[in-house]
Amino acid sequence: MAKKVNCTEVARRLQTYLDGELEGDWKERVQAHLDDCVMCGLEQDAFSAIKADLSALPSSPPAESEALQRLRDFSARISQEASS
Amino acid sequence: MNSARTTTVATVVRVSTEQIAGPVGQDARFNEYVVPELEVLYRVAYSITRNKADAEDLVQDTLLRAYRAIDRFDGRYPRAWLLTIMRNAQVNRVRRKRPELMHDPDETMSRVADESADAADAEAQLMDQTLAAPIELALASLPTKFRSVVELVDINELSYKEAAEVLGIPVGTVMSRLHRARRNIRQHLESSPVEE
Repeated sequence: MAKKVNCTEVARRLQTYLDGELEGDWKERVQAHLDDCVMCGLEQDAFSAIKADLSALPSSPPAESEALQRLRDFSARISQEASS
Repeated sequence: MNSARTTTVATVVRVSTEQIAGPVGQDARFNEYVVPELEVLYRVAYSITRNKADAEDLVQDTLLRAYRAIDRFDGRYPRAWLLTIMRNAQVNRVRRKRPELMHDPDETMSRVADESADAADAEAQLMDQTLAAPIELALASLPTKFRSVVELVDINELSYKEAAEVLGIPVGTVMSRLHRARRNIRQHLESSPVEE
């Protein structure tokens, strides 16, 4: 069984855990603590909500599809120009 | 797209590909590793430049560099490879405009992001913010170096390592900036008036 961790250790790693970037057995240890600790669980909820709201923001400006099509055309032209 | 821009792009392609002796398989590798990443490249370029035309130019520059280097690419982690190329391309673009920024790439990238948001953009952003969600206002209130990390990781869904490649900073710095940024966003949201 993984060694237990305290609230301070979890607070230091909580956001890395939420990003899915926690390495080694820390993921399991943080998860176990979050299952038991009300205060850390609330912290998890708060940062999860912020991360979800940020993820929902538009990632690029309008007309993205037109820009992407121009870039696809540009990619194709690179190959054509190189082979001609 | 206007005709002047078309001419410029065509000229760049022609000149830049004169030195490319495309061996068999080069196009296939380009299509396999590079083309599927176009959308990510554009989104990241926009995060860096904060300008649609500059973002498109930066991606084009990245594509040309990637095509020239595709033979030397080992096929592992194409996104990270392309993001490194993009970062180098952007640093060179800034150096051409501002030769005095030759010595500190991290500083250069920070200035790139700061200077890209010109006065017109700032005014447009301010106007947009009157209708923006609280989370957008909180994000916009962050200093550029913190906002960039949030945009790359939370909005564009890059890994810590990929964001570090783009910004030319250690992964640990990505983590510390990201975590501080989210704490600031949280404080901003907690201090915002609640809508009735």
